[in-house]
Amino acid sequence: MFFGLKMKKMLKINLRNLREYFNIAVRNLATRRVRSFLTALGIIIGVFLIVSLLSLSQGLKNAVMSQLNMIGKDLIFIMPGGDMMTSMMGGNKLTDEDIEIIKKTEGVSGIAAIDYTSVTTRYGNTQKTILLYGANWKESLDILKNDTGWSIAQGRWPTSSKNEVVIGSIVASEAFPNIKLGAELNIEGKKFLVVGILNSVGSKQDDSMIGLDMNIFKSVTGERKGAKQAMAKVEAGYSPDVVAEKMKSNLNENRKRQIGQKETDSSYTVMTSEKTASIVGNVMGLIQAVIIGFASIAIVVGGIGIMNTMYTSVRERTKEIGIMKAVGAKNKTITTIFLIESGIFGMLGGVGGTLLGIILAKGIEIYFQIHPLFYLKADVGPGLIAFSLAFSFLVGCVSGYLPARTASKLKPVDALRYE
Amino acid sequence: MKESVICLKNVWKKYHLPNEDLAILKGINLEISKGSFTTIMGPSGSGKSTLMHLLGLLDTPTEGQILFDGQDISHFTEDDLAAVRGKKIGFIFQQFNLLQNLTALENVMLPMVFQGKSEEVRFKRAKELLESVDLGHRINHKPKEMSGGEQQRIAISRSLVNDPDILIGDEPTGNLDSHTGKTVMEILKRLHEEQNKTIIVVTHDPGIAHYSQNVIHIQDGQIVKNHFKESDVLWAENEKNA
Repeated sequence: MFFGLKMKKMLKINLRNLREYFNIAVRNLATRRVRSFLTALGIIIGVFLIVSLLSLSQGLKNAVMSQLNMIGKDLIFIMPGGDMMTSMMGGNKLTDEDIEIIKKTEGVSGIAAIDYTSVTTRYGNTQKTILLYGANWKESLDILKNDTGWSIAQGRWPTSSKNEVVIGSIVASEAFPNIKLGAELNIEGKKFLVVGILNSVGSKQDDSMIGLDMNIFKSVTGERKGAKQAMAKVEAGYSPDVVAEKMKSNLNENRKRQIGQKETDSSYTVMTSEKTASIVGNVMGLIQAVIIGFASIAIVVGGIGIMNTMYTSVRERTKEIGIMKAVGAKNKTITTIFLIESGIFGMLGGVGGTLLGIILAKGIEIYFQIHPLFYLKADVGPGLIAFSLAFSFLVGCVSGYLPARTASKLKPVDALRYE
Repeated sequence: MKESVICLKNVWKKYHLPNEDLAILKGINLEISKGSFTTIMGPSGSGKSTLMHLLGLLDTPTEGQILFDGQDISHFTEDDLAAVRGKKIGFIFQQFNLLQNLTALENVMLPMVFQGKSEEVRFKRAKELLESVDLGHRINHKPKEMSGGEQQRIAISRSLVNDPDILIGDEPTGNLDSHTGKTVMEILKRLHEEQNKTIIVVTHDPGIAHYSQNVIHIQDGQIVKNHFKESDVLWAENEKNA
């Protein structure tokens, strides 16, 4: 029988033919350029969204996580107020008594309590409002250096008795360019000597502060007691989670005794560094999932566009399909040609969208390098690119499948008669 | 009697209309013998196009049997039929039916693509054929840049590219002026005489009958006359004068 071909031979023929079918498909797309472009555009937009937003959010996640990772795993953060939001915004403070309790909790080896407020600072003729950090250097330096990654680039740390300050890297580079060690700063009318410049710790806030001793901070700002937040270091051999629990209940008991409130469980936020990192990681993961979700909808809409175009194309080319069948094209051949066309739509959309997405992401990255609000590096990994291309190609093929099947099912005689 | 390539036995073609079945072909019995030159004639609506589609395996009968090379094709799948068409039958249409996106050469090569022939073989064969119909210098032109006669010669080249036994022409001269039409018919005649191709031409032009050995007349879905050339030409001429 003349159609009883061996599988092996057929496979070889199929591969060879694929190039020809591809050629035919490309010709068809090229003759309808505007329509082909618009169809691909639907996918381009979706992929563009996925690539740009995902790479930026991944970059953001990387930045936040790397900061969190700089922090030692055996730290506990203590903030007044029930949850992260209110404690960061509100004016609540940890009292000196609170800090004593934290210090005395079993398993705590050290504490760094920090208070901060905005102050007017003058250097030469330039006047700026800058965040002033007060810390008990003697107590806190160990934690700040070893666990939060603070380090001196030039000079030394301030002493507790003199009017000496260290400045963050952004203060040195932007707020007061040209500032040198030994320069004199005027903070709230008092004179201070710059004795150290810090290396960047990778956080905009920490890099744009001026740090000095807690006692001097209090006298300059008029802040009387306590601190806005504290970090406690857990002694080796103790579980941070257990120590944090203990600390929290101690703090709450004390407050209960003092004020006599019945329900005060939410007066403090006590969190281990590990917990903080996992919360941030989860939030970022959620944001990314939402991005993928919405952008996927855009791609699916693009896929519907492809399907629409393909159906139109099948109708327009009914006669052509009839001709190809008359001269020996099998159903599978017709399906293949149309699937290649829709696959090309998907692929073009994927490539175009990926390119545009990378351009936007890199553009934003460069923008933030020039205006460093925070450190953001777009993370365009090969995985993301491969995913976008594969997904858009898949959407193209899936959208093209039904139209391609419609085309292949046409009877040659009906297709030939179609005008 | 010579060996038959296509044999129709009591073939009916019906279309289902809402109220009744419309029979286009009513019990056709017909044998096309190998190496013959047959003209099928009849007024429009007579069913001659439908008959042509059945002979070319582009369509299947509602009732009856079609034997192709001795095989009953009623159980063939669409793909089986496509395989037979691709290898054994060449089509020449009134509208030329070339793919507008492809060049002359690519159009001629297309049926070989479906047969899985290699690029070198395709190119050589297609170029040869186009040269044999004096289009060697225009192989890279698209159909719309060419005249009707040229397009039909491309179509003839395409129909021959897989070296089929049978050539089927559906009003092949219908869109051509008489001079060009004559050239096309001369090519078919030469193919018949020199390469012993079986040729079937559907037409309503009695002039075509001059080239053929036998003429089949169809009317209202039935064969009314099946003549050999000499007598039939007379008959056709008479018809024309009447």
